[in-house]
Amino acid sequence: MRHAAFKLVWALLILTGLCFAGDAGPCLDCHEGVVTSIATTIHTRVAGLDCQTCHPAAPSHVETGDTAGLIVDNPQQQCFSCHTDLTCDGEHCDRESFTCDNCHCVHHGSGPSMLKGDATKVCSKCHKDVAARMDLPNHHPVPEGKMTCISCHSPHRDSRASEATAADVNNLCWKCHSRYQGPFIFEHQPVIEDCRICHDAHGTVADNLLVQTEPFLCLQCHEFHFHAGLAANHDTDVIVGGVEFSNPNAEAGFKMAYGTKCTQCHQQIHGSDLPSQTVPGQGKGLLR
Amino acid sequence: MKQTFLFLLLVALVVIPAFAEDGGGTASVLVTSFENDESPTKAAEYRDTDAGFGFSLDMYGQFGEQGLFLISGHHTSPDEQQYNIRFWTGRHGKIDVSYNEFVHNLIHDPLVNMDAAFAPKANFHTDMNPMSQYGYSVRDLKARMDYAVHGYENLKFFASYSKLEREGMKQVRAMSHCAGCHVNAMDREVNEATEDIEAGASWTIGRLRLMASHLTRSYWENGATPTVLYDLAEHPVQHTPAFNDRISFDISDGPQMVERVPDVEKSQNQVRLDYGWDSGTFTTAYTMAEVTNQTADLSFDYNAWLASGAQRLGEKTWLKLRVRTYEIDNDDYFVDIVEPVAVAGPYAGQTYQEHYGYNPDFLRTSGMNRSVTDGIAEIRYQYARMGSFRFGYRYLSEDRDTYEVQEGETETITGRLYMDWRHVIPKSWKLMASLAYSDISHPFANVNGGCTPDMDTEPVSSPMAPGSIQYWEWQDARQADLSNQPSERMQFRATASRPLGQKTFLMLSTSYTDDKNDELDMSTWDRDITLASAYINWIPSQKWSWFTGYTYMKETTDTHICIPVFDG
Repeated sequence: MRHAAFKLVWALLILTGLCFAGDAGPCLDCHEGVVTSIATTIHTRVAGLDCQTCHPAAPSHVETGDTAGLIVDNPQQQCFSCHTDLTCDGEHCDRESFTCDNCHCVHHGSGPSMLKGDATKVCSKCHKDVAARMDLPNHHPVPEGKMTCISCHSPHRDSRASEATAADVNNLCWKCHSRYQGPFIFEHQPVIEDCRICHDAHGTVADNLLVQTEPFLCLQCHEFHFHAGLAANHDTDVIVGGVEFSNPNAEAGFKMAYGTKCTQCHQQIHGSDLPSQTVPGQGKGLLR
Repeated sequence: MKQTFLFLLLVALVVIPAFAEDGGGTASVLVTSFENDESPTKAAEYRDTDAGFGFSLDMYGQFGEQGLFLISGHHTSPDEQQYNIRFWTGRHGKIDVSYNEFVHNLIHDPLVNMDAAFAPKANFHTDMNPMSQYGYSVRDLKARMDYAVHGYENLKFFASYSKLEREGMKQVRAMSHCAGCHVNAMDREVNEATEDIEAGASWTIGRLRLMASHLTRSYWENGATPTVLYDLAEHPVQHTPAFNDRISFDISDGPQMVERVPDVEKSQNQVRLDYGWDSGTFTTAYTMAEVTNQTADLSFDYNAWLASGAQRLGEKTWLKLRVRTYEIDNDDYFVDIVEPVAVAGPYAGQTYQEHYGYNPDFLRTSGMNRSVTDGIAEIRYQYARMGSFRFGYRYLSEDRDTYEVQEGETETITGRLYMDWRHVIPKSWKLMASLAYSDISHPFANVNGGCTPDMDTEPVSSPMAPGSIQYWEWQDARQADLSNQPSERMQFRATASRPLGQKTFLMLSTSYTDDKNDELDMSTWDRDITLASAYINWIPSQKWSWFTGYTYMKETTDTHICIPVFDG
């Protein structure tokens, strides 16, 4: 039923979709493409800007054809004269070679932000090494279009300054991953220290955005579980207390069990309020 | 909530365009197909793998004098949809509503590696739901309204609401000690939501802008907390009840909760001041927040302060300074461990503490507590219209209240020197390169995290034998500091791109990171990461783009790994 309703609505919208060109103005004669395009944007429709707003020499250009003064000396300041809320103190804005039009296009920009393509593509043009990480097997759903770079980063402000609202990077992660925020009674120190000790948000080969696979990641800070030093029986099956247990990994059985993936047992690696089972372990095992 | 929202969305999609006085848009039909022989988690972690038809739409329209709306929608499948509606009423009002739904496929761990036996000990697993497929639906709703009062355009208000939901099933595991280790795996319902409500105002006076906002965040998990019946506490070799004094609970205590997720409330207030002048900017902000775990009645608060400024020095040079400090203060918590009395064996009638003199109770002082100071000084030099250098230094001090990163040391100090270069040759190469060197004293580490010395040359029959060394004693004797964080880091990054003809673009990138930690007491840790990529993007038309690329990554880590060999 829901599918049918969706398809009906979409069909109606397709049938009624019409295109209208914007108001032409005197520039239309020579610059039809640009004028037609900008007529559909927020600058023209909401802010009521015309060509002369950003090209102050347009009238003389129409009269004489002279192009002098058409482009202002500092186009960035032209933008800031209206966009006063963008106090641009970030890495992107304080040099002449990097102006608003690196990412935005006032003539043909797409969407309400008038970007040159979707946000992720715009960022990827310069941050190619980060985009490459997004192609690794484990990543946030950025290539799939479910998130964009600006879900976490603020391109108009210093990326670190934006963290001031969140105190540290963990608070940024907890915005979506609140499950791991706690505060918990039983803590795992690197979790509350910095999520990036174990995770790389841009993409990894290992699952769960871990910077390395288990158990190798864990073993850089912890020693192996002591059971991993034991050899199992050679037999494939063993009778224990009258019950038959499988031993598919033969001699390497205990090594496989305790040296493969630490979080199979220590599942609450992000913290827990419930004590683990052993008394000498003081409940700190993060097992439940 | 979902059904109501979708209904309102449908009404909006039909009704709003009907009132438009002028408008337009595009619509397209999508055909999706997905073939997968095995688990979708690797090939399509975030994809709905059902094939079918989808639709896509972008529309705009004008109404009233200065009214504008933009509507976009992408419906790939019932579990994969995105919608966005934005309204402007001139410069005075703006409403932005978006809805994004997608799937997140999760792994089902078969746990087959757990099985091992060494008679008379066994280690095994039970997967109670072996056929379950795990994953959840992620639903993200965001709405924001901005409003400027007529006649007082410098005074603006905003209010926003967002709700992120995850609903589905994941695998949860729990482990029983004793009689061999027994890992149980079972379904765990996930039905969690994070809800943000924020409101604020800004007031602009000339080039001074003041802003204040308040945020309330609530998190809850409605999925039932799973329970487990832990195995009987018995000696792993003798299979007698002589082991229960070292286990806080077993089957006799009934079902025990596992993975209980607490409800969390967050409250945050922020004030911010921005001031700009012709050649520079200044910003200062203060943030105060409190986060409470309502289930355990624990909370922490933090206070952060920021000051940042940029100033043009002459025609070609910019100076930027920034300092930020914050403090986190988390509650202490007294952990009272349940200590059963031994019912058999040599210590029958005594608790573990009574016969080993070990008190497991402790006051948990959080490792979260700290004071952090972070500062940056940076110079940018514009040597040409399309070329610039940047040089900077960052200082970061993280002083923890209790957690030690080296014997007797709780403070990590990071000094980072960096430079980057950017140069654009019109209609040709766009080049960027950066180099950074960091020196970190006392990086984060697990002090005495591994390598127990040879403590007992006399084999004993059991850890319960009189005089035998206990596991906590082995732990306390560990002597090697271990870490995966560097005390020195060198990073190089370069990217280059250029058009190849009218419709084709070439993009190259490489990065190299050399991490080294030589502050560890018994070893040196070292990691090198090399990443290189090449992409070609061919855009024959506005609606058609072809992208192909290759990424190479190599990572090498040299670390100290401790493998204790003893039978506890």
